[in-house]
Amino acid sequence: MSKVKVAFTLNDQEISLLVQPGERLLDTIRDRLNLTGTKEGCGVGECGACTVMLDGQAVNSCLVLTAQVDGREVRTVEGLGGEEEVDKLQQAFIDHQAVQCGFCTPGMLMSARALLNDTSSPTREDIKTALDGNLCRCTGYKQIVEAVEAAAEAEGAD
Amino acid sequence: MIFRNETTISLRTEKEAKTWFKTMLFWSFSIFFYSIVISGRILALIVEIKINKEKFMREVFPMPERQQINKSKKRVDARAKVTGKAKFGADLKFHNMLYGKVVRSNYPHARIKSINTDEAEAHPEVAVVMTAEDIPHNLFGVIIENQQVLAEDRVLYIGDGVAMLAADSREAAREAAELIEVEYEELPGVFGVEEARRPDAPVVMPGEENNQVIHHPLRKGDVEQGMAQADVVLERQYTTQFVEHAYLEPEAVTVIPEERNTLVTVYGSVQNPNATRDALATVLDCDLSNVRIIQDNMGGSFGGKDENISSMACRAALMALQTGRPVQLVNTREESIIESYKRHPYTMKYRIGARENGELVAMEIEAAADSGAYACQTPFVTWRSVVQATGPYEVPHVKTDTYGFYTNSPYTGAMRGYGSPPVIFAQESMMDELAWELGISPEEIRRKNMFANNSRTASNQKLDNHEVSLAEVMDKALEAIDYQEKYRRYSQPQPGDIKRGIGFAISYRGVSLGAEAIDAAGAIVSVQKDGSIIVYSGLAENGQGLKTIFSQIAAEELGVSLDRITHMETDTSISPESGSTVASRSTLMGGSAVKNAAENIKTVIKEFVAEEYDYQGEIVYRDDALFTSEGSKLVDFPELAASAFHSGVFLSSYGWYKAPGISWDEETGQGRPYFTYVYGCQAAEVEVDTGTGEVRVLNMAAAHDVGKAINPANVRGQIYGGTVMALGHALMEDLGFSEGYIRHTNFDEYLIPTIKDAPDNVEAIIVENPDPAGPYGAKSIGEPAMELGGAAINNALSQATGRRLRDLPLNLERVLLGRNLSREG
Amino acid sequence: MTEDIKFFQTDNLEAALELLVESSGVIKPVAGGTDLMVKIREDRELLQQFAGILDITNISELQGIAQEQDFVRIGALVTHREIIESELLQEKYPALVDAARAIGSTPIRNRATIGGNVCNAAACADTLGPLVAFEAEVVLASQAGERVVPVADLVEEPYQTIIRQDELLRHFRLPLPAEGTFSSFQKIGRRQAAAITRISLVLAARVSQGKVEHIKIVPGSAIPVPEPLTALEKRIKGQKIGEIDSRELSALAGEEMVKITGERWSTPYKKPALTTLVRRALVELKEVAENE
Repeated sequence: MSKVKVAFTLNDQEISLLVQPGERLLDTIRDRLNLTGTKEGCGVGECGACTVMLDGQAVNSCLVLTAQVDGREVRTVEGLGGEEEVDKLQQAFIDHQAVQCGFCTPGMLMSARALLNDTSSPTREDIKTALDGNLCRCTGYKQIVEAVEAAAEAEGAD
Repeated sequence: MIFRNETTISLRTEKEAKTWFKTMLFWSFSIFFYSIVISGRILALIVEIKINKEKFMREVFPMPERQQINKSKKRVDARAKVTGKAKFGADLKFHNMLYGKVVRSNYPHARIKSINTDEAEAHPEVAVVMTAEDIPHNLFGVIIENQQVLAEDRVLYIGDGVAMLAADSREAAREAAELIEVEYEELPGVFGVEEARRPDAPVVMPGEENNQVIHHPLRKGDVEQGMAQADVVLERQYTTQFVEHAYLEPEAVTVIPEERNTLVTVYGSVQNPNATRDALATVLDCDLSNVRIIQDNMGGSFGGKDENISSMACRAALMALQTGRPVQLVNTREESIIESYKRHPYTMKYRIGARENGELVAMEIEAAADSGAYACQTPFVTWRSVVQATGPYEVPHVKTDTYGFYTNSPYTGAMRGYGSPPVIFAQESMMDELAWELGISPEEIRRKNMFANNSRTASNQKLDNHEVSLAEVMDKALEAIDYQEKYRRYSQPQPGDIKRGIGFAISYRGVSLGAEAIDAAGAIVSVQKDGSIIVYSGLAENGQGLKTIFSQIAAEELGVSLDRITHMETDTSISPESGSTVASRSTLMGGSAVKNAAENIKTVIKEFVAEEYDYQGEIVYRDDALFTSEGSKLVDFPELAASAFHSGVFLSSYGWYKAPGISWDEETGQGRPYFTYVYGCQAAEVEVDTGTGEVRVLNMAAAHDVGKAINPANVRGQIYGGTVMALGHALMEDLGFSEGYIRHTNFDEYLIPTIKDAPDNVEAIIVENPDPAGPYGAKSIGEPAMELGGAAINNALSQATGRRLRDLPLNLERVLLGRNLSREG
Repeated sequence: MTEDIKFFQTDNLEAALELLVESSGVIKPVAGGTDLMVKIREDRELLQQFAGILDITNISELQGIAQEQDFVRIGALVTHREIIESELLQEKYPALVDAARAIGSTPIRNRATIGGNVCNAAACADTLGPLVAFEAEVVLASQAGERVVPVADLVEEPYQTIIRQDELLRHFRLPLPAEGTFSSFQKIGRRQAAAITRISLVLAARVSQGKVEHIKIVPGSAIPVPEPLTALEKRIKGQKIGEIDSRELSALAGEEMVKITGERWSTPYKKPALTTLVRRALVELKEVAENE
């Protein structure tokens, strides 16, 4: 057995674990840490349902080895907003009917959150580029774009 | 009267299916005449449509200030979904749970010579290994019972399961599955409908005489006589491809054996809990009451999580009962694409006769759908094609023949639109071709022939019980996209490689099941003593927003705020069996059932209020309270609920709604196939690069008559999603089929539209002509929104390039070269 | 996944190189992991072939973009996102930046590195074309020292490079383009984002005193390994820019491609598509040159 010791920050909490060398971050999050908000849709980095933030950037957690995130910061959908509250982006998704089946939603939110943390007033093209790795089969994307625009505006107003 | 849902009827052959259609016919006629008698008043009012639409609206739909209906209320499940708390099938874990894995065929068609499971069984973490030998009742099916839980003797397509096992971990299950050795003798396969219908073709389905699954004829007038009257007769062939549902969530089920009082409890991504329950009862040979299906959040379905989920649930249940432990089966994306059923590919031959002025005189159609290895829903999917194949046009002479054939390709079943997107693609492309041939505009040819009030369809149904709003949807969609100006501009020569075009398509679509099956649905509305309300519905939330719509209806009727309502997931042991959540029937059928339940409760409340509050008049329900008709408050709703409870008054009710009558003559295709219709028009503006074959859809406008939008934001969401799904169907979706093998088994190769492929703008136009059949006049939108885009995009592309393509998808090669290329040559 | 495999992580280049030599089996270096993780998923056996995985992401010698005397150094670990955001690269090598932009999706571009894209050496690897067109070299480090190889010579066949097991791709060296160098990148995919390249084209050229002084034309996904269309380049080089017949010359590109690959099932599409891309690149070159 050659398990790897990893310590990282997950949703502002320090985590220390022993993992398999080939273990995917997605499996660590879902199976070991029981945070099932992050979804698996394809396993090959094409659908974006497993998107999390790694050091502030959107990444496909199905393509990241957990062993590689030692010392780094990971945020999942459960780490958005506070205990009771939802953040402005989540609220905008609710308000703009940007959610249908909801399976792509956590990944969409993480990609959008990464964008909004970097860019306070993104253009529509910026938003589309930030979300170009998140497939959605229900919404046709329009209400999602509108939600991200609204969230950017709401956060800019703060 | 005993209600028999279509899902409880299992037929083994086409002959049985036909007998069953005849029984249906009898019932339908009885119901039809009965409904005529009782709905005299409504009919009288319908006549008034032409006289005074507004007066009619007021009388049939007295519209007090609505608090919930026609309002873009936030989805009731949105909060759970944006916080990651919403549980989907694969998110569940149970104590002592096993992980299942299925070994699938390596061949599209082969005889299984032997299966050696010794090594897998010896694996230390494996709890059970099973093959068809271990399954006494191995067949199930919604219409014709011929789908194998595991392949017994022959594998009929590449995704057929041959063995299954369950182990302590996913990893062990995967490892052990690789230890199972199956020896096959490869057999020649049958691929494509042309091959399947040849007299000497090998027979795919054991026990059948040939490969025909179904044949639906339709005869109206005399088509040859009609053609003789035509100035122009056009003959064309169109084809469409296999399409994957591509729901983002791969299928997942967990089966718990002997939990509480049932034999098995199934959790998972089940689109049609009652259909899955039927399959389990058949395969486990037990009572329906011994099977409990509880739906989890569904990560999309679009018609796609029905038979394949039933199959998975049967497999997991068999292993769970064998081991006495919970068993979970979750597909990888590759497993999902290889095993799950697809949208039917169609080959369609159209022959249309028209007079010089554009008037249609005759139409002859032969449409053949590839059913793949199983019958699945082919008889019904192709039946919908029959009704829509001639389009929303008055044609005096019609002859259509619609077929389904077995092949050794993946089986095909329900997918959003059902049998309509292929035939609309053909029909509406054909209308443009005909217009071009006659030298008139696409708009003119449609206006000349399309249905209006009192028109007669190809089935000779008179459209006289609702507003036939084709002209309205067409006007609104074309105006929104500035069609006339763009059509004129893009008809001029366009310099350079980049060319633009604009096109559109119109449709009429029968609402709900039609003559596929008896059509009824139920719900439970239960007021708790604190005034909170629980709703159970037999129809299921598949992500489309059903819980929100039903909650709005319950809240509207009882005058309470939406947050008082808790809409439970469908649970087959509690929710009334309501048939399948298909055919865009939820709002109309299920919504009416919820409304009915709430109305029943209001009847009880009225009596209670008369006694308790000494008020006999009309009660107004609003703002979480009850008011007199004069507007003085009687009592707050929570207080009413408490006082009713403490007085022993029961404020819960089942609601039930049975659709108006229908009829169908299966020999001639004549009758009244649906009780009402919706109308839609979608227009697309495209840009094509004639140097590379790339096509971009710039804008779309979609106008749909939904009767009444219960939740306009939800309706728009359906339209946006539907148009983009249609865009994928039209331009890119391709499973890379070759002789029964699938090459594109994941999203890196099976491409669906990304956010950058979606049009820059989709203008969603909600048209409202309330329908007497629906709650508050509401009808449907889910499938109508998807069925038109393919034809609209193709018509726009043809205008841009001046060249007509007739095969989907309109990929780089077809657009640049006019033909497809494939590895196989 | 397998339990025998070891995971190594170091921020020290020497230690990493040592590990590559001393280890008893194959040690697989991993950076962004976007290709490796997909391969492992497709073929679980693959992992068994490795004695270990070496995470190289913390090795500083492999990071960063910097201008040095007469070349720009791009570390192997530079992600596509960093390429897109680099003002230096935007100014000097716009075709490389556009190629990076065309790769995968945002989460992929955030992780995937230029070193990984090149080492994976797919025929559709989008950064290979620009690197070849800009005549980049790679610096390969090993315990035996460094060797410098032109990117054009790096790929033997699709998914196969000349990089040895004991070597790490350290960085790329891109010669500073002469003043006035024009470059463009075009790509055709089956959809607008996250699409595998059906065919692409890089053109880098310099027009001086009305004549084409320098030209590189490198197609992607058209020929098995990235190489310039030298016959076409020869035809164009030295020509007066005003006399370039882009239609006629672009047709030669398609023919040159077929000479290299032979007729394939996809040729009826790729030949005219490549012709279109070359024609457009030449037209744009002319426009840019004539506006100066």
